[in-house]
Amino acid sequence: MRHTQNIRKTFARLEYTNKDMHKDTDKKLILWRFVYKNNVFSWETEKGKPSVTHSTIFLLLLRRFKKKTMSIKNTIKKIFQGKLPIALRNLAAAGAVFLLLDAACHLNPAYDWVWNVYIQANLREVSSLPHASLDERLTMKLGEDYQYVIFVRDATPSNSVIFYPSLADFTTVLPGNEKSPFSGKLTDKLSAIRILYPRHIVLEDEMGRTPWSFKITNVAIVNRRNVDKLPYQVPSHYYIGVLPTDSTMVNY
Amino acid sequence: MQTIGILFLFLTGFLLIKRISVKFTLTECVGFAFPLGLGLITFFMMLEDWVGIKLTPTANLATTVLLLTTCICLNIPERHALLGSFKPQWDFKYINLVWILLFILIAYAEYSNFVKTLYYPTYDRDSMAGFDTIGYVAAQEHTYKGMSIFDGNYFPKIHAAGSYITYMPMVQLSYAYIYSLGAETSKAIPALIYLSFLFGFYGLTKRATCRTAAILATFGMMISPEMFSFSSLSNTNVIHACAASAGMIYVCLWFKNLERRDLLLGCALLALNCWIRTEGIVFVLATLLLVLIKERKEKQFRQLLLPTIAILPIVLFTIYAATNGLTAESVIIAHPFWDPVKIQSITGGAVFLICISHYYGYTFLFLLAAALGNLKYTIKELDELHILLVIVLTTVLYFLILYHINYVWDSLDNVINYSAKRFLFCMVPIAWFYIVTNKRVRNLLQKFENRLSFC
Repeated sequence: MRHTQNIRKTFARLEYTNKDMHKDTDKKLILWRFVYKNNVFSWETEKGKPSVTHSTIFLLLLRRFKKKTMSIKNTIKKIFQGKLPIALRNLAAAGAVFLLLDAACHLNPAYDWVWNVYIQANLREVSSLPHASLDERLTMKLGEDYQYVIFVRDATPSNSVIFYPSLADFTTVLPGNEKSPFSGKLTDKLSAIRILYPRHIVLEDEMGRTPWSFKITNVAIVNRRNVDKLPYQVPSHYYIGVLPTDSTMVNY
Repeated sequence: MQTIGILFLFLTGFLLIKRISVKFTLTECVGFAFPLGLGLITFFMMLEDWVGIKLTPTANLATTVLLLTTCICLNIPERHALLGSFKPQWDFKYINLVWILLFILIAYAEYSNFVKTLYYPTYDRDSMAGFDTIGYVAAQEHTYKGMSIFDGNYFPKIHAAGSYITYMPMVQLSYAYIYSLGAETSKAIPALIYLSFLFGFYGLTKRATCRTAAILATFGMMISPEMFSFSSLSNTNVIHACAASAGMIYVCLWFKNLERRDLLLGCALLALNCWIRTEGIVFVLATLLLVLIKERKEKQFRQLLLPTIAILPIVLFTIYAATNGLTAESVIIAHPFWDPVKIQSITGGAVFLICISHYYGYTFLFLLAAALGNLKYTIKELDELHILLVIVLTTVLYFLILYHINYVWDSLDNVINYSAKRFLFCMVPIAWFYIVTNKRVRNLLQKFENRLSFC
C-alpha cells in the first residue's frame, strides 16, 4: 500500500508504506520516503510513531531542507525520536521555574506584595466595582478630602474665587480632641486646581499679595477654620462647607 | 477622538522606526512606536505654542495627521522593502513550556497593571500637584506658555526653586494632548507606554540572546516591585526609565554589532529621554563615551554628532522657557565644591537603595552574580563590559547630579529616602539586559532552550 502527500504544489513529496512485521519483535513497521529535487531519503519507524500528522512531518522536513539549517538526517531523527522525553523535560523545567518564582515570593516580601497585593488584590478591587464613576474611584484613593473638594466644586459657580484651607486647617484637632476626618492629601494648590478648575484658588499665604486675593467670592471651611474670613457671623454648628462672602447669597 | 489620536501617533512612530531600518522586528516597532510618536507630537506642540498657534483639539489632530503623512511620504521610496518586512516569519523552534509559563505570567500581571492604571484616575501627589494638572490646564486653556497657573500673579510660588515650571514638558504636553481629545483621565499615556515597553524590551533583548532568556529578563524587569507599582502612576519616572534604558540598550547593541540602525534608534530614544527629564543627559554622556571608545581608532568622530543631537530637546526647551518667562530660582550648584557630609549622605543613600531588595527585588543581586560569573569572559574578551560601564557611569553621574543640587525646597534626606529610589528605575532594564546577555548566562540559557525545543 502506498500513500502520497504532495502538498502546496511543491516538487517534494512524502511517501509511506506499510511493511511486514518485524520478525523479532512482531512490531508493525512503516517505510518512509521523502523526495525533494532528486534527493531521496528513506527510513523506517514503528507504526503509530510519531503521533503527528503526515502533513506536519512533510512541512517540517521541507522547511528544514529549504533553509538548510539542519541536516535532513538530523531533522528526521529529531522528529521521530519521540516527544515524550522532551515534554517531560519541559514540564519539569516549567515546574522548577514556577517553584523558584514561588520561593522568591516567600523570601522577598516585596515580590510577595507585588503578586498578592498589587496584581491580585487590585484586580479583585477593580472587578468588584467595574462601573464606579470617576468621582467614586478617586474617593476610593483620596478619601474624605476628595469628597470635600467635590462638594466645594458642586456648591460653587465655575467663575468663583475660593479661599482654600491649608494643611493645618485640614488636619487640626477638633474640640473634644476628636481627630479630623481629613488627611490633608489635597492641600497643594495645584491638586486643588485639578479638581476645582476653572474656579480660582487663593491660599492663606497669598492673602494681600496677589490680585486674586482681593476677589474672593467663597470661603472653604473645614473643621470650622476660616470662618473669620467671612464678613458675617457663621452659626456655631457650621463645621464643614463652603460659604459665599456675600451674605445675601448664604444658604445653610 | 482619543483612540484615533493614539492610533495615528502609533502609526507615525511605527513608520519612523521602519524608515530608520526595515530590519527592526515587529516587537521592537510595536514597542517603541507609541513613545516616539508621542515624543514627536509633543515636540511639535511646543513649537506651535512658541509661535503662538493655539493648542486646540483641531490643531493637535491636524499636526498628528501632518506628522503621519510626512512619515508615510518618507517611506514611499522604500515601500517595497517596507511591505516585504511585514511578511511574517514564523519560527516556533524556541517555544517551550518555560517560555509559555513566563508569557502567561507577564500577560496576567500586565493585564492587572493595565486595568488598574486605567481604572483609577490620577491620584498620586506628584502628578496632581504637577504633571497631570499642568496637562489638564494646558488642554483647557489651549496654551502651555500662557497658562494661568504659570502666572506669578495667580500662583506666586510657581517661580520658586524646584517648581514644575522648569520640568521638561513632554509628559505634561502628552497629557494635554489626550485631554484635548476628550479623555477623562490621562492614564492611557502611562498605561500604553509601559505596555509598549514590555514589547520593546523583549524585542531588543531577543536580538542579543535566546527567546527564553529574553522573556525571563522581561519578566524579571517587569516585576521589579517599585518600578512596577510606579508604572501605574502618572509621574515621569517610569516613562523616562523606558525611553532612557531602551535608548541605552540600543547604543550597547550598536557598540557590539556596529549596525548603524541601532545607533540611530538609540539616539532617537535618548532624545526622547532628554525630552522627558533633564537628567536624561547622563545617558547621552555615556553614549558619547561609548562612541568615542569605538571610533577612536578609525577617527570617525562625526558619529559623535548623533548623540549630541539627542540633547537638542533640552537646548530648545531651555530657550523656549527663557523667552516665555517659564523660569524658576536655580537649584543647580554650578561650581565645584567639597561637602563631605553631603557626599556621605548621598553615598550611604545610594548603597542602601542598591542593596535593599524591597525596591528593585533581586535585580542588583542578580546583576552582581552575573558580573562575577562572567568575570572570565569580561577579562579575556571584554564581553559586555560596555554595559557594565554604562550602568556604573550613569549611576555615578546620577548621584553626582544629586550632589550638585541645592536642596532649598526639601531636605536631602527626604530626596534620598523618597525620590532617589525612582532615579534607579533606568538601571533596572539595563541590568536585566546584562544579566541575560553576558556570555556565561547566554550560553547556559541557549543550551537550556535547545534541550527544551520540540523541533
